[in-house]
Amino acid sequence: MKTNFKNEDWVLLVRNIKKTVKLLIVIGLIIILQEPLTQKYVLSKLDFFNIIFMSILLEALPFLLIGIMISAIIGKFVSSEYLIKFLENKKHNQVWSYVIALLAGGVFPVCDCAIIPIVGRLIKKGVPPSLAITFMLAAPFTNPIVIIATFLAFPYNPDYAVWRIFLGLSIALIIGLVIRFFVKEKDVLKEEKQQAHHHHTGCTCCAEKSGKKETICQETRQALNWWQQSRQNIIDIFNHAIKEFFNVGGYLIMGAFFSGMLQVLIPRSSIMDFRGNGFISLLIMMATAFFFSICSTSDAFVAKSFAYSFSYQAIMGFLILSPMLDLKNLMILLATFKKGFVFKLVCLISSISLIVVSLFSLII
Amino acid sequence: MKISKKINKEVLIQQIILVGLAFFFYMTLKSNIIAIYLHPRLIPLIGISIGIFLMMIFCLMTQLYRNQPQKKSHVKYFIFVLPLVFGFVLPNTVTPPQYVTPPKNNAQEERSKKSKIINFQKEMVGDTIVINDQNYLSWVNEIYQNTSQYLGKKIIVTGFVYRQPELKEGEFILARLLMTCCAADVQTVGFRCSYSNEKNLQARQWLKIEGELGITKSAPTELPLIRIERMQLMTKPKNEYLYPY
Repeated sequence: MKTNFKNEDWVLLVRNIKKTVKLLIVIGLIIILQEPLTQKYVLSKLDFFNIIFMSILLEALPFLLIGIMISAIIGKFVSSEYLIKFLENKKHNQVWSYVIALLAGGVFPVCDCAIIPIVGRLIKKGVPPSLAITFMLAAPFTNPIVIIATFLAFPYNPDYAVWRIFLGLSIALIIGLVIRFFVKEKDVLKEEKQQAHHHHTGCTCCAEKSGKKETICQETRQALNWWQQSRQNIIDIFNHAIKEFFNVGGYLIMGAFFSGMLQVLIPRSSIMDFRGNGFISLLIMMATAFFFSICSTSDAFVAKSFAYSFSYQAIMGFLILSPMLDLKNLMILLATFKKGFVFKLVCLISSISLIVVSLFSLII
Repeated sequence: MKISKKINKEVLIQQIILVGLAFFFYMTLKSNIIAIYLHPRLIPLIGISIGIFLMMIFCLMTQLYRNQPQKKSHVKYFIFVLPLVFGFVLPNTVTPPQYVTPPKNNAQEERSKKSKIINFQKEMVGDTIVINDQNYLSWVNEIYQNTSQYLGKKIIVTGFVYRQPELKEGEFILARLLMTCCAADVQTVGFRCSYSNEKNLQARQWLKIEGELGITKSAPTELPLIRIERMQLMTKPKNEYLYPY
């Protein structure tokens, strides 16, 4: 008991120290902010940060919401048995399922941040992770808007757009195959919290968890008429969407926040210091792609602004990495997948795209 | 399922956040502040999101009195307050110096007028290159690509004064802002200009200039350069962005 008391004393003391330190920092900041010059500087920086932060958010949130809605609709209406049956039919010829995964993005033109909740849902429904990840990585490259934007950004070098599609799809395929043969984990998705799930009314997703409930659910289902049923369906879809929004949305906000901070702290002109032809410039361009978190539909134009100072190979690295991986996407991945899997995925994407782009520059 | 008289705290927090976000989206749309942040083509998506938010709020209303089995921490909702703070509090205290403050009249009409989508046509008026908002980007591409073809040609162009440390004495860049998707990808494009009285020009002053196209040797490459012969001060246009598509 005595030790306990002592411990609590310590905790109290530490807390007090923390409080005083915080108080001192706040007082210091207030004093510093009294100075009109620093005031002006801080305000201008804050202003710039605000514009970047809000614009990334305002641009990505609608796409994320649409992705979440599609994901919820898939969750409601596409049964896992049907999906698995469909994939198993194709199993005689597995090549086809990968071809479909690679090209599906062209029919399903969603942005790179909207695709992650959809892919999470597909995996939950029984699609093998390797196929789903291939689809996720390939989708931005076959997105018609992305292709058109790349052509428009480089009207005098259409080969950028062509190589971007070709290299991007091959990287997606390689990563998919690596996951298929070398990553053995079955459940890559983040575990859901049970309690959060059960406060919904008669939500049919519970039926997936226990067989007993399913029969009850279905009995009550049949008692409802068409109007009540469709109303219940819509409420179910939105309930799922709300849950997913509050899971993923927070990560998106954090991604936008960090990305805004980095853009304020690292001005674009300082990136120009690393221009040149070497391997370093490739790394710098890929790091820029990661930290700036620019939507895949517009990154080609940002790449163009670097094209006069950086080599062909470095620009290609930017164009390849930016749709597959950036800070904002990483945050959304962390909201959907397990940490260990995200780590493996990030390592795979960065290393394989680095290797492929380096090989590409040797050939060209 | 237990139904109690007590309000479910978590649902209430979610409600408040969703209402806040929907209201914030509506306000940026209504006051046309959205034009600072987003490309006109993306603005309808804000309307769609408001619709989705409203449906979510409606769905949550039915759950307001549902019992929560366990006590949970609501700390994770704190992050959703960030955009509301930055969205609502800051724009009132700071007016962006770099970006246009949008006009407060009929948003719809303004927007359709504002979208200056560039088409990729290049035509010369006699022997003079006349650059406007519509052909700006295609001319920039063309002149940077085939500089030697246009040496000695007359050129008329508008933009604002922009300076970079690497520029020589008496040089500045007559720049425009290019927005592809949102304000996070805005970049400055423009022409290098040389002008004897460069020191008297203020940064971000809008100008219409007439000059002769030449060439300057900058560190790695040769770049086009406009030698200014005449210039005219201008007021900042209502929307200073150019949209490539």
